[in-house]
Amino acid sequence: MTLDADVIIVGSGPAGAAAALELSKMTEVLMLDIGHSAPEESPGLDRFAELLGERLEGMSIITEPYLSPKLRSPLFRYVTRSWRELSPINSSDFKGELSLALGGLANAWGSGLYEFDDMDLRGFPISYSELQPFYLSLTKHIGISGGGDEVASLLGSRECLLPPMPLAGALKALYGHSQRPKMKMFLHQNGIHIGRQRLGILTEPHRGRPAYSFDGKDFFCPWKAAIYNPAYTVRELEALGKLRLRRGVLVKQFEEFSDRIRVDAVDIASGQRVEFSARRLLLGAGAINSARIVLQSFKDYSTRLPMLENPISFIPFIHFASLGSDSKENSFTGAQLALMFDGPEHRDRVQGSFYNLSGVLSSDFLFDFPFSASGNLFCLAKILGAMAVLQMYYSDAPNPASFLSLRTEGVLELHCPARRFGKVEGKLINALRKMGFWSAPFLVRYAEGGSSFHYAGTLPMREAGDSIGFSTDRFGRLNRCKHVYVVDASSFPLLPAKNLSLTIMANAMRIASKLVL
Amino acid sequence: MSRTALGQSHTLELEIAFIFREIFDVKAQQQAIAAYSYFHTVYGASLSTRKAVNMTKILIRGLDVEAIEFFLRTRFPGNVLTCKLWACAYLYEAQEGVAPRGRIQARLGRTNSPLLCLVILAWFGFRSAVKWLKGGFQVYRHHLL
Repeated sequence: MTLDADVIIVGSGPAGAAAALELSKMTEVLMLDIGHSAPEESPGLDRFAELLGERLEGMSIITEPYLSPKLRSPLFRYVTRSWRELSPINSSDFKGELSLALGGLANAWGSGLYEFDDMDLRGFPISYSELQPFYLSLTKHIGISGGGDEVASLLGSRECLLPPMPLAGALKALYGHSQRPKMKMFLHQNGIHIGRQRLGILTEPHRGRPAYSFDGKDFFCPWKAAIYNPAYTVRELEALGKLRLRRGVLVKQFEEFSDRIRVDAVDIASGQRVEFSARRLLLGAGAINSARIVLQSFKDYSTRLPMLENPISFIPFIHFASLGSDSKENSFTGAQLALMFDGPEHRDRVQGSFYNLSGVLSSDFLFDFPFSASGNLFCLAKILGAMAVLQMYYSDAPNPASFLSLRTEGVLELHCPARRFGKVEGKLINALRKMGFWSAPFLVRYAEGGSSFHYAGTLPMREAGDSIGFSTDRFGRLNRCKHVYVVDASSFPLLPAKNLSLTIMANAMRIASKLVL
Repeated sequence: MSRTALGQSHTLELEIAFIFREIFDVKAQQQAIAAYSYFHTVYGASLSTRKAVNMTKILIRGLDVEAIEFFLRTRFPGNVLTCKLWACAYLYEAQEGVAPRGRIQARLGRTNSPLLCLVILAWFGFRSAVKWLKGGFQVYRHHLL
């Protein structure tokens, strides 16, 4: 029997890319993915097509449910293209998105790259020290910018970080206020820590990629090489001949034999069934699609797998002293500041990211103000620049209400109800008021289920001897299989309140490094 | 193109010209007009399920579209007129390359003082209340629903 490769990796997102990065040092790797790509760069694109799209996709929130600005952006539509047809989900409460693009959902991420510390890893059968070498290796590979303040130590090691992204507008003022000794003490007493972000965005040229430059088009231009996405790693390995990438195939299931794994897939263009064989199989298709492949492989239509997701809330703030300032100030349009909350109002740490509103179309907010059209238009020009949004992430643990299962026709049944908190938001509103940032509890919005795009926990990692059902051991090996490994967030038994991408990557590298070939 | 479709397209052209003039005080360019018409094609199915207003009467009688929209928005969120105005704001932003500006705003000039902004907001609050009353009156006086 001829093998197609020593190792097959399914999926090109953070997990697949990082596993390939590690494995390509020692063996032959084949990556299978649908791999939609960003449209070709076209400098002559007119503003209507760039901002609103050929089919006016950018205006969809007028009549359709809310979709994050980046995923709604016309040139980013490739990120979520065709998943509903190819990876169907039946759910009344899942309002998230999946991605079949090269690089996965990370094509549209907020770029926050945090490390999980031992407190975050409580409930995992692994410790920080096992992930630490891979965090460092990734920091050097990706080029992560970050600060040296007290929050930096909560977000990860400061080693090898690039200088932080510059701050601007209301958030620059917020950071300044929060670092004053008296204010800092007050914030600490209330369990609040505010500091610079750790971002996968280059502030200096790094490994052939340019430093970030502001043009106000972060949400509309998918070709900004300063903003990392795992597709860069995949393309780099492919160009170096260290990885074979087979695009346009949708992996359906696998079957394990004594000497090999057979992977069954469908060629999307022809509709033909295709087979691949390898010694080892690494599943990195994301928590939902990896679970689907496993359930399909075992033809299991009854098991309910746990589903984890970070519940999120949004708190808008106005900084009165910044009223009248330009909303399109020269600044990065993603997350600018990080917040950690460890007060008694919530059982676990809560993490937040502050965003300004300069990157999206102002018209998105036209009816978010309480005046007639002229008043609201005035607000877009003079209030938006003084506003910031704090996006709060909560941790998650398995619960009976959130699960997925496979139906006989191949559709996933998914339940992921929205959750509301409120105590932490109330405390933050009161604390930030002291720094001149106003908000009110009735302005807080709670996202619907699935909206965080942080999915995990479907095939949880357990201690040896504790393997039940569809779970993995501490080395990612799937229970009931000898040579199938899960490298994505499916294997997280719990989901701390932190951006998970960097830990997905570090864990994938850890598993890949332990693979015995 | 059928006579009905031609007539509908002409009405949409008049609509966007009217909204651009009354709300933004700028002329809608051909690309924006075409996109406005296309918006109704793409999102028409969803618009047809929402509370509609008689646009023809608003255009012919030159009614206060800002006042009517504000009144309807408070009574019927997501109504067709609000959707049309929102679409026009996006088209303005694509046409001009800047955040949409109201016709009054141009007269206010460059307001960078936070205090002055608050005063203007208070004035807009009062103005909006007046507009709401006017909008309600026009909706019932002209049987727009």
